[in-house]
Amino acid sequence: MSKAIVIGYLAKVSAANVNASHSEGNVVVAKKVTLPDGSTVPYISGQALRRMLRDRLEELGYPLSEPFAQVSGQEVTPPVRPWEFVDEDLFGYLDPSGGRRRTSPVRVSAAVGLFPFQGDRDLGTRSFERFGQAMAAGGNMYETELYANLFKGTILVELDRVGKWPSRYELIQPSKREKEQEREREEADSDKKKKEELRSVLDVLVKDTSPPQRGFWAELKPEVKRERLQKLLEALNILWGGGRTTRMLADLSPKFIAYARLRVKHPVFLEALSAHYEDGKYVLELEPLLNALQKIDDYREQTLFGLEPGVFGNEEEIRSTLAGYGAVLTVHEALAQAKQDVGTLWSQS
Amino acid sequence: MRVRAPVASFRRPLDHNYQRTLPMPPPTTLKGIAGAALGLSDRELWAPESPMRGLKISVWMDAKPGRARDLWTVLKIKNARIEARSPYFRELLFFTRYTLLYGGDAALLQKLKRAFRDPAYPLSLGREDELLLVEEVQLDEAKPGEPRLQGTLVVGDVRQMSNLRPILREGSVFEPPVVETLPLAFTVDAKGIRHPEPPVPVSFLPLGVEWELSGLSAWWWKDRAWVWIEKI
Repeated sequence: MSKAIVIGYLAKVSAANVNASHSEGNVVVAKKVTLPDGSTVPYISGQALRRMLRDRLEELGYPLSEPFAQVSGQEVTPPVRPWEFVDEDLFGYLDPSGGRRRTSPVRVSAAVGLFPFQGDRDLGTRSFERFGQAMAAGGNMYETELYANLFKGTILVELDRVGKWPSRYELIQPSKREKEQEREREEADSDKKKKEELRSVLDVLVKDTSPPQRGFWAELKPEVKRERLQKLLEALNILWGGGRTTRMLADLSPKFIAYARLRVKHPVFLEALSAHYEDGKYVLELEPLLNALQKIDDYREQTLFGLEPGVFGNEEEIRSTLAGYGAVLTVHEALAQAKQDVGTLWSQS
Repeated sequence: MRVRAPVASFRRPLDHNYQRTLPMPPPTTLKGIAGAALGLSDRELWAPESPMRGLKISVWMDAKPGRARDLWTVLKIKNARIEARSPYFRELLFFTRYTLLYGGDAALLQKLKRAFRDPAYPLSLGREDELLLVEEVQLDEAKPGEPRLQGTLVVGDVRQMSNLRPILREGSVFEPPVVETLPLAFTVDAKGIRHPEPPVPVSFLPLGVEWELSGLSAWWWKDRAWVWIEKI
């Protein structure tokens, strides 16, 4: 039985500061990491990528949850209706008021640049003309760090947790009673009420747990779960976002992807993608990727690769080498095939 | 278990606006990783009768990581509106490599070995997105040996230990150890709230210099030593 989908991808940025950090004086610095040898590498945080995926899901027609659904003082309570909101289901939530929490079944690693930051900056002027003065008065200069880089990232989806929620404590609030018996009675009552509420939700199936587990499982119908995952793959296909998009728009849709459906939850491509730059093109290094594929040979149920033409100097080598492990298509074709693959999930349940 | 992760972070417990990271996973994280592999909830993991309580743990840092300061913005909400944006920094470690060491009953270790290869939940070094990659899981026997340590944990404040002696060699890079007061376990109360057990000083010995800590019971495997953290 498949337990996870893992996607390793490479996104190309030609000149941008996708995920800026703070300002140092009049310089907007890029998020970057300092290596032990003193060089720095830019990265895009996992949170920033999650936000971009959420935004794309909204564009694809899903209503998103309202994070400020209920506000009391400084306490903000999310809706906690993951059957209704795809982002609550796929990206999790925390209800600080009642302790209901869902760990995201979709794990999104930071996207880390494969090449060091070279110290490039974009110069801008904040013109005084906007403040009622003549253009001749000039303006304040500011700078924004920017880079050209290839970013590697990984997405891991826990298939057994998508569209499936234990009532305790993802859906009902834990009882605050001290005594075990009273607590159990109160939580059983909450379970009952939640079950009643879910009875009217068409796409949700409810199943009691067997001891020693308590409460019940609520689960989306397989076709709804499949559709959510297919839309997530589509969101990756059209990924863009981050800051400074008005003047440094960057397309983060992958230029290379490796897709694997696995019988274990193992982020196999996390350290498998590397490249070097040669004769004006990126060259994908295949050895780490092949090693990763061989390592999980016993657990791979489906493997696909997507490769955008014209990006890599060793395109032919990539195609011929990876063909032994799975189909090598363009990225959008590979994601379309991945959507078909996801369409076969949960067909027995 | 040899692991690596592109990004990891282990926030020091009392840090808020500037969240420094510990250089290695602390004891509770090491236990949490084992619990996640076995699919245990926090209630089950930290229950007084949990078999995980008897599990011995330690860690080796296998390479010096890169470091970053990650900027976050907390939105302060008042009357359903964003009243203020408050920035804070979180230190992150990049390109980490560790060996996580688990010791104890052979049956439990066999079970753990299977779980690390086929974990119930994806394993991470820190937050849920800071996924780790398991490179190798091995079950072997350790041998007692001299307490010559580097890039590992020791319970206690090494700065207060008179038996501490750095073994200086040509080319050694001396870095002070990080000492932090940390819980070694949690208890989960009836309401599901996790409470740290009384914290103790834990020293994180850096790579670069070997430290001799005479009097400690150290164990050796593959030419490297460690001390078990076991009273949990």
